[in-house]
Amino acid sequence: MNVSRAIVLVEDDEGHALLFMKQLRRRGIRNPIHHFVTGSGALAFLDAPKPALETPQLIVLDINLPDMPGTEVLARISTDPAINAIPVVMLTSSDDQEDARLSFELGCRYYMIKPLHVERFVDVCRDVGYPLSVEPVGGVDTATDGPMGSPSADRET
Amino acid sequence: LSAADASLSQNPDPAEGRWEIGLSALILTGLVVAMTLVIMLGAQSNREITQLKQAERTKFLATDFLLNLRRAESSQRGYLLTGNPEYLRGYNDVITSLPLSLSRLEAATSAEPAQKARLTKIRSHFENKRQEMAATLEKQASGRRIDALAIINSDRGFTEMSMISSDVRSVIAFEENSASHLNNHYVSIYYLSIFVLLLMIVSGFITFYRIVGFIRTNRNYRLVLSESNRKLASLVKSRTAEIARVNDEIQRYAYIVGHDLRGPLVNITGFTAELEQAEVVLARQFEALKATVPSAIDPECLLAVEEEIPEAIRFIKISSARMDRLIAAVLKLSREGRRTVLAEPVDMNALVRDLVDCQAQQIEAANTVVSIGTLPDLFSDRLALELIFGNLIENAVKYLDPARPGRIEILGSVKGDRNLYEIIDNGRGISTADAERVFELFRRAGEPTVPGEGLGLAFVRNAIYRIDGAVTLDSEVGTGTKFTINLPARLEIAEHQRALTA
Repeated sequence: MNVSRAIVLVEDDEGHALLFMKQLRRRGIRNPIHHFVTGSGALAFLDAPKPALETPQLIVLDINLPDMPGTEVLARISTDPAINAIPVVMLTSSDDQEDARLSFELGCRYYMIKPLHVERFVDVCRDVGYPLSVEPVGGVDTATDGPMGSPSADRET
Repeated sequence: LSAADASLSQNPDPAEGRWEIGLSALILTGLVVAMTLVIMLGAQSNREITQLKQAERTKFLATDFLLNLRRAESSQRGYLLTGNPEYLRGYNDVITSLPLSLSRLEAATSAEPAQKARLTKIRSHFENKRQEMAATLEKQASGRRIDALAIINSDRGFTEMSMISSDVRSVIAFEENSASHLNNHYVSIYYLSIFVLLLMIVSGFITFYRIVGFIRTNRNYRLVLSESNRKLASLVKSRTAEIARVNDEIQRYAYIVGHDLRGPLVNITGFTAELEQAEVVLARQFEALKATVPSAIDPECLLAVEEEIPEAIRFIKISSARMDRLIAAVLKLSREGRRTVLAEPVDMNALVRDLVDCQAQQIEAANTVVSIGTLPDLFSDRLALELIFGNLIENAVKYLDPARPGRIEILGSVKGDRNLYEIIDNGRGISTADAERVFELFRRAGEPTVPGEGLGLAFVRNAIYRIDGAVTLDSEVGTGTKFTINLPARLEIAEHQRALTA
């Protein structure tokens, strides 16, 4: 049942993107990841016509992007019938209530203030983007701290 | 404002005031003296009018007496010359009234000794004259005309008559003389009255001038005062707006800095975790090597993998966790600062009771008694009050002296339109040097035996300021601490507080 559709990650901080991707892999998620550092780059990719099987399975969108606000990218996605069914997780370092309100209005599935530990965020992605392509993993990441850091791949296969 | 200051501080010249007071006093004195004189002279002239009347009457009486006497004499002579008794009628008319006339004249002049002496003389001459006339007439009537004429020819009657005439003129002259003296006082009264009138006019003008000046000065002061009030109000308004703007900017700045610091911190934490993972792999490799080819291991490498790297990672993790808490505190402070303050009725007894109940476990653990007095209610922001009292109660419990049983008191009182709340503990206390510092962000007083970031009191003060309150601290090391919170009983949400939420 592994369809393995892509995850689109729009994040301008290379460090955050790298940590996020590493953590996804460590947690056994094998979906291809397309990383964009600008909103326009991500939109160009999403707008390009593609077969249904290549439609991304999850979009992770940072609000603070260098070229346009993440909420604007979200607005474009929500008005495009070809892609507005893709679940979107908004990611932000601000707790601006106006951003949160606008994001939910535009149909985002989850709004998350960037946690200090990426593991928590990966949990959210696994839930929102279900079913992601997950492989069971060994005890490689046992050293990660925090309750969310422990492997829980056996929960869903 | 400086112009208003200058005109406000410009006091009236004291020398000028003295001059005016002196002049007014002089005029008043002059008026009093002149009026007294007028009144005295009036009374005097009243008396003089009476005297004048009396003099006129005396003159009339004297003249009348002399005329009647002459009439009697000429009537007597006519009868003696002609023998016609018709001539006697004039004599008979006046001869009986003459003594009476003389008596009246005597009465009128009895106050003046000189006149009185004259009248005594006149009386005796009159008696002689009357006898002379009566004797001649009697002789004529009895037919002895020769005898009668002889008496007349003796000049006796003539002499008496001229004596009387001379004395009566003296009496009249005396009265006229004294009347002429009286007239001078009238002139004095006349001139004095004119003088009084002039004084009154001058005084009236001065008073009028003073009143006009006073009204004008008063109006000017009022104008200056209202102008300076207006300027002050607009100054306060612009300063308040300025402060609100700066405060707003600081809040935004704190917010932005907080968020911008957080991005790198996520990377530091994340990659430290990655480093830790890598270290675990390395350590495993070294474990395997120790078992198989221990000679191949560089002892320095082993030290790095087993001790130095884990130690460095541990410090990085502790520091970044702390930094995260600090950034979170800054963000919380900024968020609280930007929050809309809402005034609502707050039951302070219930609020404090709930907050104490929240700490029940810690209070029990610290063997502490908390007593709450009757607290006056507020119309204020509930969230701010919860933050203020929550933090202060928590602090009181947290910093008790473990050497003695804890005692915490929460009291309230009303002072005008403000309420005072006191939170008193018998804890370890805060030294005077630290009393102001404890309200600053990230600052703590005394030995750090209890965990904390130095945030609570910074939040407390910030929240108190937001609801127009003030907080003071009395403390003695080893005895205890008293926080006094002064809050408006009814919070007016000012314009600048609303503006902050924009």
